[in-house]
Amino acid sequence: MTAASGKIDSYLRRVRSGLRGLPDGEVTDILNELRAHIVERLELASGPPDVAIESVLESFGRAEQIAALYVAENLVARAESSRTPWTILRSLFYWSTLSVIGFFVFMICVVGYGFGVCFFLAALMKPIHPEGVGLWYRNDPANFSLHVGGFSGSPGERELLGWWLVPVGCSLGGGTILLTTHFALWSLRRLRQPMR
Amino acid sequence: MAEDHDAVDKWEVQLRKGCLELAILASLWGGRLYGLELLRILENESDLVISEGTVYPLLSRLRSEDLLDAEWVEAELGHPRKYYRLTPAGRRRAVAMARIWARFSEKLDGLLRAVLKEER
Repeated sequence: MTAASGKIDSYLRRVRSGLRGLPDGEVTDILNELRAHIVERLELASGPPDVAIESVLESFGRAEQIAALYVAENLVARAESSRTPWTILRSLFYWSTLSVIGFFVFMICVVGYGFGVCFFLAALMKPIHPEGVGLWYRNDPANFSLHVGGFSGSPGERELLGWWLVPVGCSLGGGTILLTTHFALWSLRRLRQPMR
Repeated sequence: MAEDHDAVDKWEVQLRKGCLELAILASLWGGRLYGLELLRILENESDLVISEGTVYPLLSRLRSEDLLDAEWVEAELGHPRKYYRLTPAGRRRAVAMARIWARFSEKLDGLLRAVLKEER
């Protein structure tokens, strides 16, 4: 093995380790394409390959950055292709294993989707259990409370919305899920790093 | 002053990044190209690429959005190459983006003329 081919292998190993989580076939395809590019650049370069390989790899970019870009593009493409909360959460979960920012975005979206589902559930449960589900309010300075859902109002609590809970719950649920989806996609798009 | 330079550098990176997709689609307008050929065109015609490897993830995304097709072709001499070509959706996207760019740059050029004249 020449020094140049050893450096190419080592560079591609670094790319591969940054591509974890992508399907094996895709990783092989990516590495084959990058190898073909680097080898052809090297053949066109002046000077001995063992020396030229340094500048070829330098102009190609950092292995970790290339891998991160692939992962980012893959995450965004996966999330945008379906736009369902489940697919988006799976992409965000993968991102959360790679960075702290990804972890926070994932947590915010879990909470956002959680609230959305709760609003929907409250709207759905209202016709089934009209007396027990509602937006409950307790005007007690020592123990103030405002909460949605529940199967029985505690003593001293008053229900505020009545049957309005159904349209309000659906609107708030849909709105929260939509907002969370937009936030998730916006965050994922920002994950695509600048070209440097 | 250094902050000014930083801000301008960041803006330039974002600008290049935003234009790269259009430049790739436009480069492929004339027919199929493999990565290195595409990069040569981008280097010679657009001054957009900073590091070569960053083009490949973008090609991968354009492909996943069905704007590009890709196929491996065995070269007579040398290595197999992965060729990219525009799909019908890619051609429509290129036309739409080129129209927006032409309209946008024409108007902006008018505004910039005064700035550049003052600078001289």
